[in-house]
Amino acid sequence: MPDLRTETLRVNFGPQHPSTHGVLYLIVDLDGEIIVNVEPVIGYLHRGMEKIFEFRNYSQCIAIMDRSDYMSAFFNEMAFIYPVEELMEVDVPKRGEYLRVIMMELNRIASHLLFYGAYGMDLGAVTPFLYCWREREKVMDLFEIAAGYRLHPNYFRVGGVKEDVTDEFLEGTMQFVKELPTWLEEYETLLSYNEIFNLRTRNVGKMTKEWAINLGVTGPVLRATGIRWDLRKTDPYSAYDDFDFDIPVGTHGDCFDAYRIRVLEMLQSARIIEQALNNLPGGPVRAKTKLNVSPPKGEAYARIESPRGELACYIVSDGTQKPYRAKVRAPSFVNLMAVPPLLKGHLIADAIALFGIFEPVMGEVDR
Amino acid sequence: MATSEITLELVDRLVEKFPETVKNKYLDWHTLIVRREDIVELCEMLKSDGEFEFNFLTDLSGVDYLEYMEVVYHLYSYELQHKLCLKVRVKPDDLLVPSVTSLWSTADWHEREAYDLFGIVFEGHPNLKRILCAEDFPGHAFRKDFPLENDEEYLLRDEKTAEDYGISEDLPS
Amino acid sequence: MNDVIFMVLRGLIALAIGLVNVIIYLYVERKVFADIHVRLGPMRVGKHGILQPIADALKLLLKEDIIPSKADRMLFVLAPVIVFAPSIMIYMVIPLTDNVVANDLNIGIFYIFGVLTIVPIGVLIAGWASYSKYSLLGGLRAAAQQISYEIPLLLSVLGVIMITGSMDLRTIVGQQSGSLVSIGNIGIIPNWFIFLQPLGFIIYFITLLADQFRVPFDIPEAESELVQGYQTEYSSMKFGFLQLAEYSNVLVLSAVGVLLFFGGWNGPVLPPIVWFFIKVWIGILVVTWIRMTLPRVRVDQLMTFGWKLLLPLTLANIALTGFLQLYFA
Repeated sequence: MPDLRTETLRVNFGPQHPSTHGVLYLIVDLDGEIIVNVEPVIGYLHRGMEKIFEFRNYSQCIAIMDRSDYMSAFFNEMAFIYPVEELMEVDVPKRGEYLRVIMMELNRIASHLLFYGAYGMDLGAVTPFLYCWREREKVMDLFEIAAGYRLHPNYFRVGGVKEDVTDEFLEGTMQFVKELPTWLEEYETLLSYNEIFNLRTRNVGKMTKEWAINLGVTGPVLRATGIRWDLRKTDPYSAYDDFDFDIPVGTHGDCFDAYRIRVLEMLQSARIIEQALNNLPGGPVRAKTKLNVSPPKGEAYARIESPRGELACYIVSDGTQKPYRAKVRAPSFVNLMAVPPLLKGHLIADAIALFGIFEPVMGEVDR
Repeated sequence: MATSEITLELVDRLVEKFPETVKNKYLDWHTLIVRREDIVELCEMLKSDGEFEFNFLTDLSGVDYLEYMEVVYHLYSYELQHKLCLKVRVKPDDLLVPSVTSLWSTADWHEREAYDLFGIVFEGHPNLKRILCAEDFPGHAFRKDFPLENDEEYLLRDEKTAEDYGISEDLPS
Repeated sequence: MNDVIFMVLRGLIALAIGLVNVIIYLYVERKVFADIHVRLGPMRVGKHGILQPIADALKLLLKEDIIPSKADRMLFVLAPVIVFAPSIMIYMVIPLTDNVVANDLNIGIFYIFGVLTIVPIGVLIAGWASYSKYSLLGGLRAAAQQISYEIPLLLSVLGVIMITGSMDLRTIVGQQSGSLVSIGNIGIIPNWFIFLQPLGFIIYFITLLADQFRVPFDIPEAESELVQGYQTEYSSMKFGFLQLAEYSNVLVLSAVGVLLFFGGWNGPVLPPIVWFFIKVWIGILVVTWIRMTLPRVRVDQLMTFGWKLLLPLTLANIALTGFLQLYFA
């Protein structure tokens, strides 16, 4: 029998597609169900954020930075403020730092909850998504109490936070972190212990340490390969030195590990928040800085651990009120780059599972 | 096990090896301003030498200083937990920088971004094309002489293709 | 002449009963989903949204009917009909009680599964005629899945036929009256074939889900992968027919399952027809519940599961049934 002639099928995934979490456009070559080649096309959400920074003063930049990774706005603010504070050598009051930590960890929980729901949705389970939305809503309400806004809080300032929180916020947060472990248990029975979920994620898309480092992958996916690397511990910033918490790491570097790490991280975040609330110091929440922030001439590069990985900002200051250049090292951007080579040879269904764990937020990829 | 600065002796060793480089420092980052001819060789040494072992290129950014363009590399070592910053300066009329994608695959998209937004051409890059802006975008958006608001002149130039805006284009200043 | 009119009338009544159940199914599914999701579901159209299915149907009717410019027009229009027709044809032979049936066929089961094999052809046509890559992939997946799962579906029923020695649905149900285990006069376990054919029932249920693309086997319509599979390019009432066909087929297969394994209309106190519908609806609710809970399996896992596990198991089930029959006969 002569060989059958087969052709690869070119399918356009996106920019509008139910599974790509935003305007990501993938040109996929398929051989039957198997992926031969993937080429991502990004930039649909490119707003020239870094260019806009150069024309706005530092406090305005914080508000724009919120819009970068719209799922974890507090981290964006922190990433932008951190190098500026390094340049200006500001001493942030302890209470301000603690409030920042509380906000960031709450945001990490919210972001991971969203990941959990969306990942279930990618694999065909609809219900977890709505459950997560319920809990995420509680975090959003807490943000609203503290900052006045839900998604783009614009709460951090150079030298501290905008204003002190109310008792309502503190009580609500305490209650939230107390309840969180029970909810997580419920979620885990829905997905983590599900036979089909395990079939779909275990041993899918195995990654090695060397591969992940070479491609610059950071965050939960890097930890899934077994590297205990979390900037909160390895290069502490803000007040993270004061708290006692663990870094969950995986062993296989597959989808399941990357998923499970996020669930465990939520518990650790709750632990941090609880400690911060119990030891919340008094005093001012903001250092006395000039209203118009103008750091001295120089440059600074600082990085923090966002829910998606290493979020860093490189700021060049020329001594004026506007940054001369601000470059954001977006974890989604770098992580997304690692996906196409990983996908080759996988089935379409695996591709969706693999994209899910990298959790690219297009606002951050395109900036 | 906080990340430490790279020790001064190691930096001095690098300067000895590549005498054209200039030693510098900002905050806790030791910085080397490297000639572009040396960058690949230097990076190869940084990556493979047991004393450096910089296996992670965290960031690569372009900066436009008008009289020269700068490519800034931020390097880390997961093994030895130290960090180093490298800079390459090129003149605006000769924006060629050797690519480091062969050493760190992560440089791929970073370099494409720098090419897209600053027009810095990375020699030896496997797939150097625009990444964030559209293929037919006129000019390079993040250069200092590119206006923030829509400019009549830029709108009129839309009919030209990407090739027309190669590297030797004459941008209005 | 009177005979013909009577026959047509009976057919229409069967059709009406079937479609009314499908409409109720649409509403119940939405409400059950909402309940599982901790939300309210449709509340605006009528009290507790009870008129929602009608509003949905109206909405679909009023939508613009789009046929892609490069689609094969005739096949594109024909596909929804081919997909929907078999389930209507099956309504005609399903007995609701011992004497309520549109057309009493003595090879009922054979007819039902024979007619059901038409569905994959319609699905494949829909995928092909749409001239869309998502549709084509979805159609191919659907056809492959239905063809490979129809074999265990048929074979799982074979055990029941071996016990009863009949393909007539009324005879099969008739043999399930009384009780299997009883203390004195009070029956404890009814004489349903699920107790005689437990393996057969489990396989029947799993293949039912796979055959009708219900979660966890909704691979052809996997939203996160293929948008809507072979239905992607359909709109308006054509889309409505494709959707209706799926719901209708689940209803039909649930009814067949009740007739074969759960004693049909047999039950104490309540009238037979009530018992029949109670059982059918429990089946539908279980399918709905599973749909909301489980993630989706992968296409290769599905095939492996079907060919390497279910098929041998059904064959073993048949062999075991035959052996026991010989032994006890």
